Amino acid sequence: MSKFVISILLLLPFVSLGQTVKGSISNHNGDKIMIANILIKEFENSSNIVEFSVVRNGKFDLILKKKYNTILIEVTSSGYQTETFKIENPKTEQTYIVDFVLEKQDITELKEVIVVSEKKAFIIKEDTITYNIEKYKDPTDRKVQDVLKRLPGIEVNEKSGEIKYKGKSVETVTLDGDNLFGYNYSLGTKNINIDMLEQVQAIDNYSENPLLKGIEGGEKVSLNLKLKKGKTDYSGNIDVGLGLNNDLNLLNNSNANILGVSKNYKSFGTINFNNIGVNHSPFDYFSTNRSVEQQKERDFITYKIIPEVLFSNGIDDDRANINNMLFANYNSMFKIDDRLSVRTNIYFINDNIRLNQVNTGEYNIKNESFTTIDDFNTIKKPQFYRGDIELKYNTSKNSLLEYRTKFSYEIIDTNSLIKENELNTFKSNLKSESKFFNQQLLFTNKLNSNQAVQIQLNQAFNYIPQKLLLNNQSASIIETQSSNFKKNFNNLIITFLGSKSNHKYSFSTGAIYENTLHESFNNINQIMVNNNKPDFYRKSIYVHGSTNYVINNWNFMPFFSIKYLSQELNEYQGLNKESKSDLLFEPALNIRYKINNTSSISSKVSLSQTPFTEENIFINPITINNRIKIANTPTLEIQKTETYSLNYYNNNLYRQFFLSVGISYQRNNGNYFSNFVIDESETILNNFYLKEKNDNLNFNISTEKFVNKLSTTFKMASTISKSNYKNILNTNDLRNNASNNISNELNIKTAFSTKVNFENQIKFMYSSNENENSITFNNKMFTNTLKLKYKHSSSIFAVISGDYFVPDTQNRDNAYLFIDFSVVYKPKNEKYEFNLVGKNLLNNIVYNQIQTSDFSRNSLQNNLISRYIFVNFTYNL
Amino acid sequence: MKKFILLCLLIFCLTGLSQNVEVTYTVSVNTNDPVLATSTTYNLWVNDNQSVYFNSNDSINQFKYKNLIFDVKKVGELTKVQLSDNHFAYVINDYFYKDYQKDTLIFNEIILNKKVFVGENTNLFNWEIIPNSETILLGFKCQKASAKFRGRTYEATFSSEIAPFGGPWKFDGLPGLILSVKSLDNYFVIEPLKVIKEGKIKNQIKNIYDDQIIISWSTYKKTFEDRLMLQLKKLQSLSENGEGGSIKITEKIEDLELPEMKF
Repeated sequence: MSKFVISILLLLPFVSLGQTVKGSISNHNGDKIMIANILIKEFENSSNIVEFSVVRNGKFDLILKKKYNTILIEVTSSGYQTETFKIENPKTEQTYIVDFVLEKQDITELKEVIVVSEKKAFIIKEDTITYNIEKYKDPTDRKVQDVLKRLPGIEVNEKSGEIKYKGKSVETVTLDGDNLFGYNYSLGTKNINIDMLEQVQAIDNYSENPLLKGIEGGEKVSLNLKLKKGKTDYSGNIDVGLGLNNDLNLLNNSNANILGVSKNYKSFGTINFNNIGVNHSPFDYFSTNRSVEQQKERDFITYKIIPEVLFSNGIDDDRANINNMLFANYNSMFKIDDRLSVRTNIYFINDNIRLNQVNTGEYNIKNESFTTIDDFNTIKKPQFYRGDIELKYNTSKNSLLEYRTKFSYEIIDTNSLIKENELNTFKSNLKSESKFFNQQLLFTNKLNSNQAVQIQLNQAFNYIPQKLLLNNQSASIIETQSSNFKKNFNNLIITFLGSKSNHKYSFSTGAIYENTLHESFNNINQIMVNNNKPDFYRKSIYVHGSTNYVINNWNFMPFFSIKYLSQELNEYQGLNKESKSDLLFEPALNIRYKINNTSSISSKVSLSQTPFTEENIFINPITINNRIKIANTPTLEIQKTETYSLNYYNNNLYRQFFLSVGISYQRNNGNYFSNFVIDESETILNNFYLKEKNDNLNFNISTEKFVNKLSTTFKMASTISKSNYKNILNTNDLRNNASNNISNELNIKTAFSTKVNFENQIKFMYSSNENENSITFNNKMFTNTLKLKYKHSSSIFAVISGDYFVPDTQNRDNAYLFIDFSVVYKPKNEKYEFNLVGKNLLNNIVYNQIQTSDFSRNSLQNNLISRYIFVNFTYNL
Repeated sequence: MKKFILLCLLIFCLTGLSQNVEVTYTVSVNTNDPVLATSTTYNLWVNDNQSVYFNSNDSINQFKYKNLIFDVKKVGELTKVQLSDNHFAYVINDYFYKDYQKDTLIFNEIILNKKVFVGENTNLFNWEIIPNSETILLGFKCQKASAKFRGRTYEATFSSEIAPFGGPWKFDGLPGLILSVKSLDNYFVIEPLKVIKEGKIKNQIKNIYDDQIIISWSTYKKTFEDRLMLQLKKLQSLSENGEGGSIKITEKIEDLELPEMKF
């Protein structure tokens, strides 16, 4: 078609009163084009029409309403190719004459394109996607979290409660726009009944502080739960569940939630007690998962060196957590007047967890092989109390003063009976406490519509005393070990934020002062005494800067930080004092290219320089259980970490397609390495610093597609990672090790219009640990979960599921099949529902998982909740 | 064989160059008196220079409260439904024909119980594009525009990715196909249900009003007013001395600028 050359004639501008664009539109034969449009677009944002004119009979005359820098004049007509003409800095009071000659459109193969919208599953409006919950929920879904997992673009980590949207961790989950829960948003998602929910909104560019809306960068995301409007200010539900297990013990899971919503008041309260392994709280006492809040407050919290349990379980908590938990929580928010609002949160937990863990290790060290067996019978009794207060006061229209404080107290009493190598019997008692206090003052002043300044003061205190009493009954040895960590953290930050058209920036300067005092004491039969008393101080002043430039579809986000850090470690009350000062420069660059509205590609390069935490400041060994002792050779060195990553992300809700591909590489220069001395009865671990490298390469891909013809959603996820690390084992030689992990997952979920539907998940995991001079330990694991869903009528549903686990594919005898069922009776337009649940029908008593390291292969066995039948009654208020 | 290929290419060329867009809409008229509210589906067919817009359902199912209907009667060529003792309505049978080359729009209207045929221009609206209003509807990139028209303010969402013109009802004159329209008072709401970009409607777009007498919008308004006056006089003649009566149009999408008539 190139033989028809487009000719655009621009005559010299005539001087006239207005800014006018006029001209003609014809085809290459000179015939007028009868129906066309003239579109005016700004050069900087060429996808949007700013003004237009409908052209009939091939002539146009358009007076521009506004002033523009550079405009594009575009002409469109059916059957002709679109032509564009650019005018730079159009002068006012001038007439531009543009004659367009359009070329016939190329012959393109046009398939029939049909787009159907019936009941919309979601609505996209500016920064918000609103999901219509009815479209995604399953009849057996009971809590908000159950349906969140099904929403495209949203991921839920069931263990930590963390929610991600578009691959980013959400800031919070608000309730009708109010941030009632803060980082402990899983309170809402784990407890609020799905029937109270109308819509879920996923929000891009979220700002908690309304003054920073549009100024703040960081591209934060959040979720908002839109609740059904009740007739009264109060709504809620009562769940009463009773059941019997295999030994005819009574089981219960009862729950009451109350939600109060009025103009100036919002509250949510929940109380739950259960002994079927359900955790309604954001805190995890069964496993070692950190909650979102604990991850955010990492700098404020110090270390608990002696753990209560040895290892966490590989299967779902509701199969293994033999608990007796009472959890109560109340959150409320008052708007006292237009300026002042108060939020309070209170928490209480009391639990009694019974664990029977057997750890069997096969070791191969320097061609010497041996086996160890530890059988733990543990009762762990945690108690937790906490209260938070938040005050927000609008000191003026453009300024906001916020004050937050929280105090928590935790005490955990753990008693274990341990049989070591089937020979020695130990009785141990561990008492751990944690007192935590944090207060924060934050003042925000909006200088003008594009700029704001923030001053933030933070103070945190955490004290963790622990006392372990270990009684070796076979050898009549009583060992006591105490460990106390006390940390003070203070910082001041002044931040200046601004935005200018598509460009956002922030500069901050601040200072941090922290100190940790540690004291530990070991005493065996009141003869041998071993203690530590180090003090650790860290001070820093720093400047941070970050910007965000948007140029067309490109987004550049450079970041830098310059920090002056001084550290001091007094080994024993001033004896052996060590100090070090460093000037640290940390740059990072994040680049994102927006391919279209649904997909983007991004890359990140960063260098970070971080000192090591106070975890390793003690020198002499601390006994953590019958077998393991930990010691350190502390350092004040700085760890340099280089990170490179490249990601592609596509979430096309209209085509019901999701794809995310990412590759990342991380290299640490300088690290604590482990020096193990292991024999049949003892493991001594000494962590020491070496200026050596270890690295990690990770590749992941995940995709999801709804195939209309099969009425089935396919979801696939794969991760491959390889890391190289070093350690020392029973000698002085540094060993080079590599660990490889592969994980593949395929989920299939049908949405047939029949009464029966299926859901199947296959998982395959491979792990191997190799060492240059010794044998390789590896393991393959396979699991398959099949769910059969039967919808009898609009009020009766049933699900039967089979979970098949093969923790070690080379040992098929060690395979587990779990059969569970659930029947829901939910009469239409009624406020109640019944639920009959049967769990672990084949009555598996234990579950064995395999873990490999570069010198051992461990089989970790946990006891399980025995077979049970359970009836639940829910009444919605 | 060569001839055959050439012929195929030619046919292909013809179909490739012209547009044949089909859109199905759900259209709701949320009348002030909710009993009379309607909600039904409409089809819009657009080719290179013409379009038609008509309701796909011309039965009593177009009424939201069809379960209230207790009487259905034929009145001339119209179907009258009785929704309550003092609520009646006619089944709507719309057909809007637009010829973009001739710049004409023809449609039918009901004056009391008689059908008339009205002609206007295709470009009736003075649209203003709403800045930063980009959105996605049914997978198409759209922008929004607003205009005041005969007593109501409308907000329309259009996409130039589907066709360079076209729209439901009288709506037109934007540089793209209008996918949804809503009056700000929510009285008249048009939402898209389905879009077929290359449909098979090429030769089905017809001007069914060829043999009819077409009146202008101002004549239509005047006729309407005259008929109402007549009705009012009838009412007056039947009433007792001292009684008063009035007629006011409350349920019409467009404002006919007729004052309340009283005696």
